[in-house]
Amino acid sequence: MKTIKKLTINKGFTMSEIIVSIALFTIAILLVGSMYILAQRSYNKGSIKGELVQNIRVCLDRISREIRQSVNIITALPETNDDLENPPAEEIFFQDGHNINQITYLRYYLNDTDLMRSHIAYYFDEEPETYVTWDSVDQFGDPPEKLILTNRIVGEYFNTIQFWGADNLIHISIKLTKNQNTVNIDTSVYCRN
Amino acid sequence: MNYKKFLNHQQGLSLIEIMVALTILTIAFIGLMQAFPYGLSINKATEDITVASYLAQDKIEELHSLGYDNIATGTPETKHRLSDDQANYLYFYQRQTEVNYVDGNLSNSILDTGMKKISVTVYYTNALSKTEKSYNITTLISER
Repeated sequence: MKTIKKLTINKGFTMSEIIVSIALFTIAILLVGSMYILAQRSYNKGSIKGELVQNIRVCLDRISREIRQSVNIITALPETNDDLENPPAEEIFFQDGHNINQITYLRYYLNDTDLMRSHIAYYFDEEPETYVTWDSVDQFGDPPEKLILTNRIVGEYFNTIQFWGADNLIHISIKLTKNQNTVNIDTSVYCRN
Repeated sequence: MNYKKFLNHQQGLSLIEIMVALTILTIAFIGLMQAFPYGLSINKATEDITVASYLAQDKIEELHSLGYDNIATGTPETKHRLSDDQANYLYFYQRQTEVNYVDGNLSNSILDTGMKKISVTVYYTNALSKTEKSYNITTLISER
């Protein structure tokens, strides 16, 4: 009997109480939710930017060092970057100055959004151990065979890479893009050799 | 019995109390939210410094390519925007270069001492404080 009585006098919540509580609950959830989303966005943006800058630094350090060491830049570069007739080069091909005993070449180019670094050698069939210059010809006037020693991805998220300059001063302009975040860097390298 | 009494006298929080709590919570959150744009602007500042350092390096390499004799002393490059085009990011960077003869103690000299000091300063505006910041690289070049 006692239990039944208790059940009947039990009062629930009114409709307005429910609505008010749900409304307050929603406000609280939205508040916390927006905070969470903002934190997430800031973190993503920050880490992407950091990643892009780091990518440029790594690639530029490597390219600059190798261009400085090089004794011969083979790609014909325009003097300025605003000549429509002669736009800046989007890849660079030069002799590797690292080992002067064997002539090898380095080529930096973009493969879609990846920066590729190719280490290339040229040789004639008669003497495959001796590497020759890329434009040399044998006694029949034939060009040498091309041997790709390595070909690796050295940078990601590249949008543009441009080279121009004159008198051994090479300007490099790089633009990286990831999820609408962009980082631009311009610099120069002077070939000391 | 005690338990039943407790149940009957149970009191919840009033609507006013809840509203006050929520308001305080909101104010606290708004305060905390300021931290995120601030964090992003610091991130931007580091990016600016990296860009500025490469632009300073750019000028130094250019002067190096001229050789010691052809580097004009004084201010070969007065502070100017690196691009006239507002759409180009270089528009927001300005650069000034100064070249001086220096003596053995690295203090400026009027006479040709066989050593030049190149000082490149890149100016840019910080996104957060809207104030102009600068980044300087100084190097020496000697007569060969």
